[in-house]
Amino acid sequence: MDKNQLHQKFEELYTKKLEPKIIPLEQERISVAKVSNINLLIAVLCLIGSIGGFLLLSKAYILLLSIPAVIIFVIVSKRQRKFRLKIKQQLLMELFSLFGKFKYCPDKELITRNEIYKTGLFPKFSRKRDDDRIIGNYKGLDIIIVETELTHTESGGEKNSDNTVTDFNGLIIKTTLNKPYKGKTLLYQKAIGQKGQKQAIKSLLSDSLGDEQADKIANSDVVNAVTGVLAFAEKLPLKHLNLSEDGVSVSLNNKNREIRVAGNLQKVTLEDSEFNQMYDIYSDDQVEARYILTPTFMERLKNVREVIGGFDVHCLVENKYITLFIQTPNDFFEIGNMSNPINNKKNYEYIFVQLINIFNLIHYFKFDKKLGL
Amino acid sequence: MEILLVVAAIAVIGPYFIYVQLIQKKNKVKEAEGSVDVQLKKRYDLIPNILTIAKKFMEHERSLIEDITKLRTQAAKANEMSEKIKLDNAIKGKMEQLMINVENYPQLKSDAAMVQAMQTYAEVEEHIAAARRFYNSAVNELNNAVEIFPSSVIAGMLNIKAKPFFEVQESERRPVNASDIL
Repeated sequence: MDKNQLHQKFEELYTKKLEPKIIPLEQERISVAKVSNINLLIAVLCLIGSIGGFLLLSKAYILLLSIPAVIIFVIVSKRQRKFRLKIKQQLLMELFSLFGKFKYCPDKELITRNEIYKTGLFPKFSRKRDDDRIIGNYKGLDIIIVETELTHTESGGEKNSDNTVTDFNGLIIKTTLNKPYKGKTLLYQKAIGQKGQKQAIKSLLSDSLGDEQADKIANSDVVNAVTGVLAFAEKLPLKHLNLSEDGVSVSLNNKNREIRVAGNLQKVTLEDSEFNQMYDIYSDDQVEARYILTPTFMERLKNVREVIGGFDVHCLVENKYITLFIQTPNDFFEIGNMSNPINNKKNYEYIFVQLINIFNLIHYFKFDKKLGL
Repeated sequence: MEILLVVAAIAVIGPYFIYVQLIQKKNKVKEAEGSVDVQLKKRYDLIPNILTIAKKFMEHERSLIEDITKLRTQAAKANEMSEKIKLDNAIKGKMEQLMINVENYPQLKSDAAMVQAMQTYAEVEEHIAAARRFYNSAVNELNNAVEIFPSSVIAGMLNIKAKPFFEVQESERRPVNASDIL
């Protein structure tokens, strides 16, 4: 399907299915936002009153007025969350229904902390925040899509202050594998090279600027120079140099990017040297790893950024599932919230393009076909 | 004196390090050979089942079936890797011929047992390809060590020799026709 056809399809979906749902929801948003704003104003007045009362009259004012303020804040934030979920469940799922049967699951952790921890890809993370959790079936394949952020706290620096370090921010896509596979193979992206950096920039920009403009920017002299330097810095020993306010330091184990591989996994070196430079591969079986990592699969993974905007793309193949960890600065599936109108057609078109990219990824890897590739 | 001690230590540790690397590489090739054997055995175990089903329908292919049976018996007895590779390539070629000829027998082609057997055979073939890649990778590392100085000297002393690669047949090198698989 070309871009015009997709655009037509979106127009049809928007007019027939989305718009009738958006209009009443937008009215609801306006009225709920009005009430929330009044409530917030009362809460703020209560807080000011409690501080004023505490300073001028008695300590009791703190309790008397701050407790209602807190209660109002909680009620307002709960109402906002409820509304956000409602629009996701009704509008976002309408967009998803175009591709298959999907369900928005805000209360169920579809990919658990333990599951991510066990991969060994992000051994340091201590906090996990899921923005969206979607489960469903696309062309007979079970799919889980989670937009998540993994972080941990590190103390250091001059003032020994705590810093929040992001270990991962992006999409996790888990789906059924098209091959009968027993075992575990882990692919950790250690470098993406200049070609990968340029592909990522092009993919990230093409959603908002269009292919032509994105291609122009990705191939501009500035981008060429920057990606060239970044790709060079990925190579040893430059990747061990840390630049900070304190100057240049050398870190031999590159702490922020370390992984913790399970003891039963062995390093796998494949015949494609370019792929070996981009990925560290570990598996519990050398033959099974190669059964999955065919030359075709390797080629597709090397060029995955042509399909979806993202930088590091880690991959775990375990038993009959494949999980892709796509690190991307893009915010996925954001329709709107209580303070912003939800009837902006461009937002829906943007999400539609995001979904096409995600499902295109399934086609790209041919997860939906048993070709033996 | 101290310098002499350091030189002596290097003279002992250096060759020992090379020796360890060589033995590790040699053992990895053995492990890879084992993996190839396991996958080939899967194919050889599957062939009689396919031939039994095929015999019922493919009266005109008797000589091809006999050839495959003969080659399978020879391959099962083979000990040397080079011999195994040669026989395996021959069997693979004949089996491919058989699979193509199945197309001429619609009844056989739609037979449930044959369909299942062909699917399993395709999976086994993929595993053999994976094992072959593992073997070639291990052999490549060993051969580099055996042929490049200074490890070549120690390899010569230990009688460790370069191993043959598991070469692909000419027919496999042909470009894939998309319409065949889609």
